[in-house]
Amino acid sequence: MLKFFLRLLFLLFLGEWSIIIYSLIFLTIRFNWLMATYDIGGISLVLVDNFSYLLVLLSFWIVMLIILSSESIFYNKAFWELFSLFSLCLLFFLFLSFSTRDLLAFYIFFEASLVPIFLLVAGWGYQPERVSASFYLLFYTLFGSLPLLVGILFLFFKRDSLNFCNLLNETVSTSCLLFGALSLAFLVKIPIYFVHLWLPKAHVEAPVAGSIILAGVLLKLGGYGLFRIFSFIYDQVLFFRNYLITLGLVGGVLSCFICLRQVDRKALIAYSSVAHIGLVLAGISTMFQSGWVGAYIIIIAHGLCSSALFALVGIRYRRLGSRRLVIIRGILIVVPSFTFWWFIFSIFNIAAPPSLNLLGEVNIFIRAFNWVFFSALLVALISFLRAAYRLFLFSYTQHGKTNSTGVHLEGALCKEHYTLLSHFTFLLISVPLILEWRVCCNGLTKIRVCGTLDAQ
Amino acid sequence: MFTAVVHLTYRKISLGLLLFSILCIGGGVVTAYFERSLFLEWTMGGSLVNFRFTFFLDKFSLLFLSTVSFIAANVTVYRQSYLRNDPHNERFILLVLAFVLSIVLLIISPNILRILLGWDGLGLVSYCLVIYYPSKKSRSAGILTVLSNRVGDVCILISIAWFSLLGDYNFIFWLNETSTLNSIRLGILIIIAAATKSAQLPFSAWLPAAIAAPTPVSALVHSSTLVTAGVYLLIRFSSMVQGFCLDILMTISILTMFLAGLAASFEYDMKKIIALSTLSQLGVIIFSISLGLYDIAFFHLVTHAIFKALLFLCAGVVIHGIRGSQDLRSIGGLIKNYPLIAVTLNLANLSLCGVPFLAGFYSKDLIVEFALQGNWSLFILLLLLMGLALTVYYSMRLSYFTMVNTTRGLCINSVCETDNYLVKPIIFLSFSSLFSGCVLREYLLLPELVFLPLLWKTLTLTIILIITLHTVTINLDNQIKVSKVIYWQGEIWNLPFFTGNVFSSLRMKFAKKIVNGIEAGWLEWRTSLILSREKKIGGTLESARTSSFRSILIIIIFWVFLILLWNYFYSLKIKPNIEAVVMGFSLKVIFRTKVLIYNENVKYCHIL
Repeated sequence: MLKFFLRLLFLLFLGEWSIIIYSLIFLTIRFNWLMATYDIGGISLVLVDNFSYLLVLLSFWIVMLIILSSESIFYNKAFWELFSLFSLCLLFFLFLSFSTRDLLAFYIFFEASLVPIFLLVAGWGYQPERVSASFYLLFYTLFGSLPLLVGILFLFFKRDSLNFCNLLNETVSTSCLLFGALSLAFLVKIPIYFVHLWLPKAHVEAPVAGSIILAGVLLKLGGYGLFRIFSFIYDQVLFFRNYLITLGLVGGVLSCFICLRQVDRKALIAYSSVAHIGLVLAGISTMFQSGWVGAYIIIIAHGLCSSALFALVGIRYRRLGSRRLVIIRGILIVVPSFTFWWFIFSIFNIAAPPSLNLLGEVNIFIRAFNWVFFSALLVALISFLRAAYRLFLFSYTQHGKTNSTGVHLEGALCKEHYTLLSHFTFLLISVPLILEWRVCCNGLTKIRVCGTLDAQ
Repeated sequence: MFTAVVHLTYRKISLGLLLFSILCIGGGVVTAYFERSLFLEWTMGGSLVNFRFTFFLDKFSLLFLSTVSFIAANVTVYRQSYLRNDPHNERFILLVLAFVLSIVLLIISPNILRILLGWDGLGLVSYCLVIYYPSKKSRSAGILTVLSNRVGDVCILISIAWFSLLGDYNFIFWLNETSTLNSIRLGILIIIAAATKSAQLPFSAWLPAAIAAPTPVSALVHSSTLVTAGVYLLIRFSSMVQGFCLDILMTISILTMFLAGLAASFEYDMKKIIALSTLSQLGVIIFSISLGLYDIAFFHLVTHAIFKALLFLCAGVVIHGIRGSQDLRSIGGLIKNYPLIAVTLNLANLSLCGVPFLAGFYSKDLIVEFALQGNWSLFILLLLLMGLALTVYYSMRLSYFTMVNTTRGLCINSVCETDNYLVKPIIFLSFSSLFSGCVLREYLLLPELVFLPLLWKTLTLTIILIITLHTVTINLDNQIKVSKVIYWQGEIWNLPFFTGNVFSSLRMKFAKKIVNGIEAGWLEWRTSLILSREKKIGGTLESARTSSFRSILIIIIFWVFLILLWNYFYSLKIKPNIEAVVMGFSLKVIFRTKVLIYNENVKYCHIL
């Protein structure tokens, strides 16, 4: 682990675009090799179990992709050094927060990752509204972090340890307040509906790189936190389970309906994240193994799919300077090779057959169905509406007359194809990884199977 | 040179599909003769998350496979000439192959998870094929198609969850275990899924719209194979769809049959007539399933697939010949200009009507006879016979307009008929639609007894005769004005309007309510109250700085207040009911009223 730590530290001072990309690719592959022969779990400070493994891999890869896709910043000399510094800082914090095994350290890195993304959105965004958007981003997430700190300290006084492994093994009954304090920050970060307002704003105003990393990894940080927190306060989660699932599913349906009205493509994809996250929250809160597996798979798959869609929107934006559905259409006539990518990522997002999302969604379906039949109907409604807005987005951008300005007649670049291909490759690679690693099952993280508790 | 390569691959692909079809029909004959079926299972992956591939081959699946691949082979040949000048030439063949692959996955799997893969894949590939032409019409049709199919996908997903209760997704073993499966709900889910794919009544708007696809696609997808996937699912789940579910099936299928026939009788778009006739024939097939005649339903499915593909291919040649017009009124005198196409078109039409000794006769006649034999209500039988009559009427009308009528409007050149690529598959299909009926009956159906009085036995023939004479004798040219019946009936019960416009306007209104009420309303207002008062542009950095100070202050005050409140409750020695407190606070904030919380344990009221 120290290897990666030091390498990342040295990367921070590199100002060269291509070298950063190469070394990040190298690090990803190296990490994967390391983990393939490495099943011990924890060494001193770090803990990389099956939960954090794919997420660390994902954050390496996604940061490589954001540097790859923001080549224009490099060529336009738009404070390139600062940009690469911030994105590598972000990677540094993400790597540490995913691989630490101390709850307090996790909290510190979790909060620290806010700073670079705040600077990325506020610094390289496109419009003046980016300032207010970045403040939304900052203060919504800070809203939950104070009680999180209080909760962590309280937990430390109660249990004398903040090690995830130690926390798992003790059974001290927790209070409702502790549950609220510990989970609120992550619920805002994921985000659930009703505290999601920062997400569309930040996504719309952020540069392509910011959108990709937000959708790709930062939202997943909240999900990861929920996995960690819920595994030791499970008695309270069981108490609040019904509310959490309802919140997730109803919020998912509402945000699906909002998606159907969006004319801004980035806002559409951002709201669709909220809908996905509704399913993730429902899956986690069921506190069943298949629900957790489903939620984890959706987290990984959604990170790649929607960041790829953001990359696609960014590619169009660079040519046209607009994100409106009215202006961007007829891509099929201009660059048919992009239509392929649009289609692939759209259908992967709606859980079409050969995708990772389907695997996750089937698990969520099963769990929701076994909770209450009605909740399966809500999941079904989300699934249907998601297809509706996704294909609406697809067909309205690909079909129809092309825009008469002719600005965007420039064809596809190799680099852009490479960006999208990298998303796609990781999506394909993660299927055997998930199958082989048997996520959530043989790691340190235990899942309390709550069927017996229900019966009591 | 590149086109030459493509043509070569096309030929290879079609040859391969043809061979596969012959292989399957051989296997089908063997399995039907020996009454055997083959089940294979192949597991890969770990213990928790694994992939299990299962194959189930019996006479239904093998015959269906051979039909699909036969039609696909013919369409691949046909397409070489039909879309020759299309720049995105290769996309088509890839999509057709993906289509065949997903339908194979659907057919051979006895496992509900694998069925979902094929089922979902079918919907998406057919979507891609519908939006093949980048036009606005095909865009709308594609959205309608894929969303209607998505309803079915979602139903399959729920039924997967249902099967997870059993711990085994191979439904084939559990079909008779009615105790473990609540069959009425599961049956309804399966019916909805089948109705979306087979375009039965509440979901039938997409099939007439999907003719925006190129004609070879219509021949392969929207007439013969995709739409019968629903029927295939019903046959597979036959023991689960029983009792009340069959009543539902009978109602929707008989209404679809009648209304689609009525709509086709007043339509002038040639492809739309054929699509609507597909709809009515699907009604017939599902009606026979609701009678419990699975073998006969499957028999009609196969024969119908072949002659309907033939009909579409013939229509494609005619449309190609008159340069794209699909209007019946611009076609005429086909017998002089296109003698071969006229013959085959007529053959397919007559077969559709159920004229004796053609393919449709063997299956359709049997269905009607079994329906007459049972004790069904007069209303059902009346609708069935009227549907039958309407089928004869619109087929004869199509024949009349295309052949008997003189040439109108557009000039017709008979170049198309000399094109080998167009004519060969038509000849293939017409031979098979001539012989498939009698051949298939020999080995698919067990001999069954039908007891009917002579009058009832000859009823279908009488209807065909009367309606044919009627159609030929009345002057159809008077009908050229759009009839008032079409206004009254509005295609099928205004279904395109309801599924398209009404649904979208409803969802837009609902979404507007959410956006105005919650998103831009309450949430945004509350947040902006804290973050910044400048709503216009979000403020410059200066105002953001002051507002950030305010927001930090408000956040801290909020939490301190909450913790104090909690301590207050604890000091009262009351274990606060957290739901009541949260609810009470939200009520207080929203409605600005006083809230009274009553704690049952200590009989204590607290005013917030």
